Amino acid sequence: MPFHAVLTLAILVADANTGAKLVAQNGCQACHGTTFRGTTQFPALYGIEHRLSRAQIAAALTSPKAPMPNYGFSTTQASDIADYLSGLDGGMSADQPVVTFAPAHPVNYADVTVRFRGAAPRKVTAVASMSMGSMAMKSPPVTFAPTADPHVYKARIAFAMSGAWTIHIVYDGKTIDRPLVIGQ
Amino acid sequence: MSALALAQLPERVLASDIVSYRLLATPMRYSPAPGVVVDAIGYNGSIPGPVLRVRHGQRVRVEYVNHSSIATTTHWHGMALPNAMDGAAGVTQPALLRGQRFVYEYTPDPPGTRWYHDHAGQMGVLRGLFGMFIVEDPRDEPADVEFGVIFHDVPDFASVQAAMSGRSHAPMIDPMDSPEMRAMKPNDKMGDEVRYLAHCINGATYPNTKRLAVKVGDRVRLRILNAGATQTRYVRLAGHRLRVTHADGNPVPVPMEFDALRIGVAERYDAWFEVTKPGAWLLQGLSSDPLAFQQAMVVATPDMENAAPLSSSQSLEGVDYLTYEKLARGVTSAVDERGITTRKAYTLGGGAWDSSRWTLNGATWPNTPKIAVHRGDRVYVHFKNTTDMDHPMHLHGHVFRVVEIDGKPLARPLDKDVSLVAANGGTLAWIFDANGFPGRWLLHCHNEIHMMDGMMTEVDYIPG
Repeated sequence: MPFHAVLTLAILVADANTGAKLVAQNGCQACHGTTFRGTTQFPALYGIEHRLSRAQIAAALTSPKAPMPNYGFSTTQASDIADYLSGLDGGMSADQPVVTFAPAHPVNYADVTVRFRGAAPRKVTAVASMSMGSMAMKSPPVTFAPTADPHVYKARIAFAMSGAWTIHIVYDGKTIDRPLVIGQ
Repeated sequence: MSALALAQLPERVLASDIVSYRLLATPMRYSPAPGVVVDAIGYNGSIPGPVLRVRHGQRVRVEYVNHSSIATTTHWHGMALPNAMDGAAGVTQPALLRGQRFVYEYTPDPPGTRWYHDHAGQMGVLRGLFGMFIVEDPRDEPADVEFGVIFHDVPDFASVQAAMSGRSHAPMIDPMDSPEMRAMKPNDKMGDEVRYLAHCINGATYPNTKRLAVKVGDRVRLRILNAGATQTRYVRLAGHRLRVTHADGNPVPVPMEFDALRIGVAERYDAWFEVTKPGAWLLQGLSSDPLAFQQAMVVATPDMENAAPLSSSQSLEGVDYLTYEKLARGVTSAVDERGITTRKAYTLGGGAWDSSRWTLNGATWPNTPKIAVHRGDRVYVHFKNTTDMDHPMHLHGHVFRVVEIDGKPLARPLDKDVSLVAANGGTLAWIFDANGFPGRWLLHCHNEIHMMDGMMTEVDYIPG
């Protein structure tokens, strides 16, 4: 399996996802969990699009109920955040691949398995990044290895630092982002 | 949870010449956030410890008993007191083992927001041994509401061990667009960062932090302490600017307003705001940690207690935050060097990846070069920081004057007892008068990792 050390520090030139940036800047994960899966006190945001419409998510952001704070988001910002949160688990679309990580609580590395539905892609790559303000830790691209099942690709990504990482998986010109917490 | 609402002293206490407290260091299971439970040590079973409060001029007597499994002492941070009462283990007293007792008795001076904490080098502060000590100053303007706010972080002890050997893999968690983040360079290896499990205000995390009830028209005084072991803290109250009147308990040259306060490890600021309309706002410690939002507490008027509180972004982009230079009203042409009798220069070094050394002039405690003074000396101390981290340098038993930063003399020097020396070549200079009690006074970096790894020296009074 491809094995790359994640050590390069890169400056993020542009944020592909305004919603993701707003979520990072406002500390949503403190209450909703570092992988957005909720805590004993607060609801999960992962998979929220199966419970609430984007308009309902945006409304919960612009007219919050305590202890949810009022961030003063504009309707555009709330809509960007709703878009980002609605895609955390792959979203409503049926052709989204399913991404799994092992072990359950990775420390130094994670084995990433991507199972595609429909047509199998020819090449799958991933970059891991962790935002630290205007800077980010970023891995070199990791190429996934095909398996006996043409719909399943696997790769191992190594991590030099614990924290809340995002795995950006690229296939057939599409990108999907998945949160992954290392060392917790 | 420790409530820090600062009640007025009962008349009976005001009338007495001596105020007595009893502090027990007790082991406890501490759960600062859902799912986080750590073995901790608290004063009287509480993190932070109880607020100690006296009027300036009153004497205090604290009976301290260590019921914990580590060696501890109690240091009275920011106090000019007899050397034997300073609580520096191995310097002014032996560390107290389990079951041992020590009585600290002295007259707290100078007045202001001080604090107390462990000083035995066994990670007592990281485990929870800290609290606020207020010495009321009769000259202060009265506030309608006064509230003590203590910021601290709960460490993952496995990462503390890794950090002490310079091999931690924990990320930096300073806020976006902070000077700490901007100083990062490609391929930086932050081997001494501690990984934190929770970020607290007064020992709790949002939304379980205590609310501060205010009324329209109130003039509110916050006494803010950063009791965290390693993190510089940025503090902001949504919808308000904060007027700073005291730094480390000492009056500032001219009170000034800021959007946010930058508070180094062990620093204190007294910050005021006025409630001009009904509302609910969050007082927050900013950070880029995904857990950042834990460090928040609600300030609300009575009719707005259940409203969604207004929040600030965790980023410092466009935020006017406190710096020493702003608080000192800018720079001037020359430092007032009148009366200086002794000079000492320290180079702050070490901190390489994989190294446990943090040094003063290349040496680690107890082999660091010391400052010898006679009573009455005026001492100029210059620091140059060659490492890639800021260092909160602290002197026991004295208030010093920050006179110069990065070679620029400050227009209105600041009276402090701890000051951040900036990373990557930053310099800072103090002047202090050796007019304190004779003895041995520690001078060290207040980052607990750096102190335990050797970045410490002492000021010694030469008898006679």
